[in-house]
Amino acid sequence: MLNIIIIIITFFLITIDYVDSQTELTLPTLPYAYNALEPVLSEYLMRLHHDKHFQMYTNKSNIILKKMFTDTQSDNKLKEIVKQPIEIILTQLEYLPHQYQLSLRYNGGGYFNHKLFFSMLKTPTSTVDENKPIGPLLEAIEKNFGSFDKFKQLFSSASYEFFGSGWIWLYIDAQTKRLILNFTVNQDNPIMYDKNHIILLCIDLWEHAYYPVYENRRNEYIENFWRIINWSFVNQLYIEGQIKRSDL
Amino acid sequence: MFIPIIFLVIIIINYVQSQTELILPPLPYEYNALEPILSEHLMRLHHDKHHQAYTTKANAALKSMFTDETSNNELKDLAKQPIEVILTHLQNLPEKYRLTLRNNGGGYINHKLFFSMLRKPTATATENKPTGPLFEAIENSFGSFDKFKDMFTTSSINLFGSGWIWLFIDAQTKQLSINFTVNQDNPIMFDKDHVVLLGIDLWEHAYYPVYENRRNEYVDNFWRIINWPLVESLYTQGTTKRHDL
Repeated sequence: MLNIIIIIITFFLITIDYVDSQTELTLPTLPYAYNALEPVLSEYLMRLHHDKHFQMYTNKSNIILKKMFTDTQSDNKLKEIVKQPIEIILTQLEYLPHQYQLSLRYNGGGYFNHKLFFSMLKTPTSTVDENKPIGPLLEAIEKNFGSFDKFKQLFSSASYEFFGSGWIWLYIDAQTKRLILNFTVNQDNPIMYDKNHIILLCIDLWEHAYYPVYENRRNEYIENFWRIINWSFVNQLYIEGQIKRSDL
Repeated sequence: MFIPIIFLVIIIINYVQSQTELILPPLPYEYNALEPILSEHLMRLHHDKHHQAYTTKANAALKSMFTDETSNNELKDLAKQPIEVILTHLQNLPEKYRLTLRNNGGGYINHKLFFSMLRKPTATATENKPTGPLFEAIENSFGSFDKFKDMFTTSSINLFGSGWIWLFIDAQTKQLSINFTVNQDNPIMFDKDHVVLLGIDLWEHAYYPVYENRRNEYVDNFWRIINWPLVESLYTQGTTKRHDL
């Protein structure tokens, strides 16, 4: 009888802890071996990008989340926000205590962006042309941009012309429901601007994303990027996005 | 007899009427002079690729601006000025040229300045310091040279994204000031009378080939390669110039 009581109490305590603890981000492992994207992105680059840059965003985000958690316990609204998944917190940055907003935007954004980016890549195809989406996503791209090649051209140009550190995105716009291309600076993500944007595809244009292989030759990085896009995964995001949109 | 004179006149007219054409300044030292702080390979990339690209693109923008039919005389006159002057008048440029000149003209002058402020490394960071009026000015503005170093270092490590950290004589307060700019902005774009003394390039290309993600190591080692005599001369020129205002 005592054993059962102890078990019940322990279970209860664990549940309370789980419910009350803040989000703690774990560094997702790459969904492939470090050398899987060779020769487009070298094993060495992937180790740096994942184990150093992505790890750092994860660590720094966790430090901030932990501090923010203890600081907001007395505020009922904030207390709830800080327990949410990071992608929810990032859509509510303006509600957070001022001293955490910027560092969470940077590091939480960095965490979320890299988690997305690495999951959108796969072993390179031999040529650029053979790697394309199919089905409703292809149709949507053709409808919004005229043709898949036109879309590629626009995405590539935007990526090449982009100045400084940031990202180029393809997403379903929350308001117009069209597919659009846009940029963000630093580690901003489109969802920081509208939580209902549905991200489909992105490219990391920080120099660390390509320098170890391409040095200053960003154009070569972009050209080869088309060989490593995991269109099946992007298609999945598109389908999930459509479903989510129809629920709104 | 007249033909050479005519040619000479035509050449002179062209020279007088052409827009500013930027030349990529050679490094004031060998590519390997900053080893082991900044490797020869890094310096070749940084100078021959990045600085070259800014030079080429800035020139293309200046040429476009000058030859554009819709450019009025005021704009054409501006296009003939030194790049430092053009960059203090960005707001007067048509929108189609403003951003590209800000980015590439800024990149041009920032790198010209930056490379000139570096020299062969000292064995340790602590032995490399300024002397004379600049040293005193730093102590006056920051409390001590070490406090200045701490502030400059912390700002450099904490800057997020691409940009620069600068030490300059503030145009308004006349105090030495530490501030950042994003991308290839330069303090003179914000006030033409700021006197830039020292800058550190914090774009990843400036350190990645040697330090990879370890920006803190780059910044720590940066103190060994600062050419303080050159920075002192910028200070002297700057305070003289200020005196004349």
